[in-house]
Amino acid sequence: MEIKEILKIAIDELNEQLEDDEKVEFSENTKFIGSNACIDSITFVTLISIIEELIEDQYNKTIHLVNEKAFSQKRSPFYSIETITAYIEDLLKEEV
Amino acid sequence: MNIDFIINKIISFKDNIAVVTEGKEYTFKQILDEYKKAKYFLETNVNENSIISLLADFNPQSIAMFLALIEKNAIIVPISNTIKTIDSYIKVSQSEFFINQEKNNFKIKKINNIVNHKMLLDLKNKNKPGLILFSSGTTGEPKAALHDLTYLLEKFKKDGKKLSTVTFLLFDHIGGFNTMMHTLCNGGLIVTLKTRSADEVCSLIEKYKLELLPTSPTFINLIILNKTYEKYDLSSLKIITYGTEPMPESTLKAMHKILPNVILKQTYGLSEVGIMPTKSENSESLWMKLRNDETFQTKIVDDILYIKSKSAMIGYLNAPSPFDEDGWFNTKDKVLVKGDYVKILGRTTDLINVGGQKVYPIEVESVFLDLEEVLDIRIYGVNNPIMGKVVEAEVKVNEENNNREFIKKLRKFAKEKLETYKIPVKFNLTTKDLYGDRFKKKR
Repeated sequence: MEIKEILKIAIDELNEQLEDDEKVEFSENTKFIGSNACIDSITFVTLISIIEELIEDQYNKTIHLVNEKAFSQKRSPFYSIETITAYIEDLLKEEV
Repeated sequence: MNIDFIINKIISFKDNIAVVTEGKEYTFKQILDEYKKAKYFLETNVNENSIISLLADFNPQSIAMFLALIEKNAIIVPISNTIKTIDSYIKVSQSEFFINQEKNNFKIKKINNIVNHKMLLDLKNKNKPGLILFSSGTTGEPKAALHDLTYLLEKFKKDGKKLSTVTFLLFDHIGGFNTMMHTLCNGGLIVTLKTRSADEVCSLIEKYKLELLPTSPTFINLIILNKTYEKYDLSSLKIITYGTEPMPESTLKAMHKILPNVILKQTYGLSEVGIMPTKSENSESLWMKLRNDETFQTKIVDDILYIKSKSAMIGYLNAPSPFDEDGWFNTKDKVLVKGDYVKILGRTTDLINVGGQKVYPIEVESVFLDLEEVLDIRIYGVNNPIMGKVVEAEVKVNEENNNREFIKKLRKFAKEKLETYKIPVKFNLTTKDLYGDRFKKKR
């Protein structure tokens, strides 16, 4: 399964617990952090947790998305679906 | 210590049944015979004022041995068979003897421990019996609470209600000790348990028409889920007492609906201060009145419950004193107050601080337990680099719900009932039990 697909499943699951006007759209314009972020920090943490679990189920690998590497990058990897996907692909490659 | 006040009561109950163990009935007279045997055993083996570990479960012989040890002014360390760290109990208590019950016989071993703890030496010098109870804390080393038994026994001098009951709480638990002494001193009946399964407990309630079930919320939940109450006639039950851990409101209401004529009463006891007299507002309510009198005093400071009690322990053997200079014990239990009533929210140590917002596990557990598919749930906090702490859940489900789709259902359900920060960021599904030997959630 592609990472993007995993993100879509994760967002679907997250949306179950969000009110209609809070639901996250799976779109390239969706921003997860910064002033235009569509979710608050606890919801963000939940999304990250769901993604980590799905990755573990699919790839049989435990990864921690929020780590020093994420904080030290010039531009946060959690900005958009595109950047998260690239970041996870990177992490998975490192693991090999 | 002179225990004539207990022995005379036992003599007066004569041929009434006192204890039933594995289907065998023992009268009070037979308990007295066992007591004499135990006394003789101690006479030939130990000195007065010895510190003695006693590994046993409830049965006529161990109960009689307990009484004989009190009479011998021993400092007693009761150890139930579920305990795996016996060596550390013997070491911390500085036990001089180890008594082990095998079937109906006792074996004794001398231990080469040096007794140098000031509190133990003081009690020995006063020529008084003692009791050492270990906290069943899941984190850190269990704390050893040393009691002067003369204070703990004081309340049994007065006559109380005669009740028949099961030994649900263990031999080494303050509640187990309380049940044993109360029943013995008031001519009640004690039926001992072997496995403590829901089926065993309920079948014995039916068979011996028992009136009192002292238990834990986890066990009540088990009876509800397994519908054990449908298999057995529980109409003899008058009181179910629950304590040892916070009660989910959903479980209490469900039990009251099933057994509307049974009084559901919350108990509040701690191995450090003894069992406090309480009165629940009603069987559906978690509000309870704490009695304030010459034996127990309570105060609430910053929503935390403090207790001062005559039956309080002398102190911990292996930890700093938890009492302040005026003798108040900080229970670390956060409470709500409504007139004379209080409601326990949970230990401040169990509280999860999610980015500054406080979550009590019991509140979240109670919400999810309303879902039929949730067989049991444990809520706990885990460290998180963004929020400090976040809430996670371990959920017991049937095999058919052990999948990701069910987690979606849990999230959807949570949306209606809980603020976002209280919704677990992660649900760990399992088909295994979430409780330990004491039918208490592992925290």
